[in-house]
Amino acid sequence: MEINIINGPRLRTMILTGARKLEIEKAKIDSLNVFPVPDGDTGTNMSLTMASAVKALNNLPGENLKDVAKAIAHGALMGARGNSGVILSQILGGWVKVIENEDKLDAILLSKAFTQGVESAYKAVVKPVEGTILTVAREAAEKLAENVTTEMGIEEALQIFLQQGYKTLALTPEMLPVLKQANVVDAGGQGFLTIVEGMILGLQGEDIESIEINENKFDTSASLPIMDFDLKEDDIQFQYCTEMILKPKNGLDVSHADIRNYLEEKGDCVLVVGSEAIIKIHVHTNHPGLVLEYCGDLGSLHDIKIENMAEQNQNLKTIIPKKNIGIISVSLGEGLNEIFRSLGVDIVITGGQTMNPSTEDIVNAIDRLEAEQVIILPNNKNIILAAEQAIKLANKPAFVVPTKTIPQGIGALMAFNSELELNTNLEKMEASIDEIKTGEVTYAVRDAKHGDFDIKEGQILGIVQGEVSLVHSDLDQGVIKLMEDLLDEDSELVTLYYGQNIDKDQAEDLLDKLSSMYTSIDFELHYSGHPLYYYLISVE
Amino acid sequence: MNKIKIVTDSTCDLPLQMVKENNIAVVPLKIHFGEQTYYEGIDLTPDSFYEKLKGADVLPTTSQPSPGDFVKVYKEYAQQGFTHIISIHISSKLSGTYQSALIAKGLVEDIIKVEVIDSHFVTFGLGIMVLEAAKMVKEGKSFETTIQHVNSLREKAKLYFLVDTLEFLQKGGRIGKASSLIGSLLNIKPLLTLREGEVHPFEKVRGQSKALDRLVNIVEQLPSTGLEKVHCGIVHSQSLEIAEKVKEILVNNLGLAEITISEIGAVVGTHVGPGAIGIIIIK
Repeated sequence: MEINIINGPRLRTMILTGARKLEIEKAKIDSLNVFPVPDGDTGTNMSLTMASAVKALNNLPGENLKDVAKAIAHGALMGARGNSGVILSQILGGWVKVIENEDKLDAILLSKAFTQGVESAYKAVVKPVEGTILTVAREAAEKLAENVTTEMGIEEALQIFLQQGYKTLALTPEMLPVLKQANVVDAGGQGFLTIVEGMILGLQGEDIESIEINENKFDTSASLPIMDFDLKEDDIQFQYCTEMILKPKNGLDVSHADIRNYLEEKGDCVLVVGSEAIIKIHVHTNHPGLVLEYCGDLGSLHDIKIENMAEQNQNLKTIIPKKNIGIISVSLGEGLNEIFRSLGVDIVITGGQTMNPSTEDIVNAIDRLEAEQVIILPNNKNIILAAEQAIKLANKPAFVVPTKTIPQGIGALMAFNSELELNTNLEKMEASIDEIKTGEVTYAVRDAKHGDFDIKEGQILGIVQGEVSLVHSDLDQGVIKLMEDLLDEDSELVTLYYGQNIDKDQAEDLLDKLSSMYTSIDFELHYSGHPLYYYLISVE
Repeated sequence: MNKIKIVTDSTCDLPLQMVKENNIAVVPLKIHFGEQTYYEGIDLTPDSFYEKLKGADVLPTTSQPSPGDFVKVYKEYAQQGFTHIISIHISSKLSGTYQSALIAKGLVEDIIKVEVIDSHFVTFGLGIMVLEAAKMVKEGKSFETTIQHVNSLREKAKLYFLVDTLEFLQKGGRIGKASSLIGSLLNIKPLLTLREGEVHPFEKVRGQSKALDRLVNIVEQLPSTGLEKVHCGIVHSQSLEIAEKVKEILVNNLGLAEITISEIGAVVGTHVGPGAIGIIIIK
């Protein structure tokens, strides 16, 4: 039987089922939340806003339409939580203005109520942003207003609203770049449409309990309309767009940052968003298999999607801007490479003492880097010249900060601030070079005479600022002795980077010894993975 | 005769005594540990909050007062005979509190005149503006003059802060432009600032003691804007000792007589975590 009017009891039921449907799907909506702040709580907030409306309804003695609408609006206003919750409360508040003088709603009045709700919401928001729940509600209300007739049933009207709502929702990433970058549709818009879906269920005579049963059937493969991430360049560095929803195993504490770090090693355009319970993962990689294995170890995988981006058509161009300043650093050893990347280096060129990269290697790296301007950190005095040659041959403006050691390179990165302009950065980075003293501990590869030192093969060499300063037969004692040359009364922080040939335990023991000798100085230990240097020491 | 009430929200981190002495109304934000909701400063003190934070499996979340919460407060003061309200709040880039207050203003416009101000700040940065406004009202200054003064303080205020870890800012989605500092393997102490109400990275420093030195140094070197009175406050989360040390240095070096130390409450604490320290200065 077609229903042509909404009276008080019916509106009440529809709000209850709308709230229930949202409650069930809130975690999924949370996982879409990236705007205005990516705190993953849109679904929860909207759901609690509806819960407050429901509570107000439960406390309402009567059931006439006007009172029901007022209770809904009042409850939502009092319980509005989060931005989307506040906007939702304003839409429901707008309804009341239309319903106030009626005892029942037909499709025409329902359409008016939606239109008034949208108007109230736009008025209430300080700076309305398109591509959000506001746009979804507005375009849906406009479509309904254009098509509604006096004979139309309520369900048909709601379906028209919903259909246009989903069309607009699918376009939200085109309106709001942050959604596009994150490859999601607007969470608030999705939340609002979920409520309308729930209201249709109520209208069809479903009760709250039957929706409860549906919860078990709830399947993440009933996918949200998520846009394809498109390409910013014709040549693709990482070929496979890999996406999935991860539901971590019970009791497993999965950190978003850990997943992100792993994925960044495997590709780019990394996105890890969502709640503790549902995590949306997106990466462009050449190793989708490794990514799936890694995530599969953390929990169950859903909505897995792997696309070959070379095959995708390229009608769409993203608005993701090129980096203003990109950084290239020369480094050797996996530990150091990771440290450099973690400090914002875009490309690490392998090389260092006895393994200098060629000018061509550096030119290629500059040409490949997606940035307007490039800064190069040679991190070795023998590589500075090659870097200076390379910048003359490169296809974009590039600049060398003449760092002679790895610790100087790290110090220069500490001085870098992506918000400042290039020249200020270059000045700050160059100034930082003198603030760091570098010690290097290695071994003699053959007998040699060096200044005053008579060096035997295999002996430990201590180097301060590039000059041999001691020769010793014992590693730990050698480092302890070298500290005397490195430290002065201004020293505050010493970082020890231990190489490939040193065990972690051995390095930790040495660090403990040093910290107990110099109690006013902070010591830090990191793995460098360097093949030649037992220890790299930075003193600040 | 005009009767003006100053309203703010709980993120101003003003000590209770200052709130009482100056007749300030504080609307609480909410903190949610799972399903449990607390009202900042009402049923959740900073101490009990940080205690709960230690034992929590999942980080808490925060939410703004609803428009309805503000309507209730505004109506109450209208009933008490106030004719005007100046409602000063946490930066709209960090919270929807300002939005809720604006909606409420529209709903009570028939009964009381409300001016809602986005402070662009939070914690004691907001607190200083609220205190100044309250003092002007006490002195009998007009509604318009008071609003103007608050707006001018907002332009001159600076807030620099250090966090122990960026994890809290990131998880809570308030990291703003400092997201580039995430993921570093070295023990970096980022010096952050609020600019136009949003978190920006200022400098990176390694090591706690160097970072503190630099924090104090930046504040000392700020040029004066020509204000007669310098306002300064230190805020901290679970780091009173360090705050006192910083205060001593600032008192000696800047010759300031009056520096308030204030503890960062639960809402801001949710987003900066324990071990944060900040200096607010208007000079």
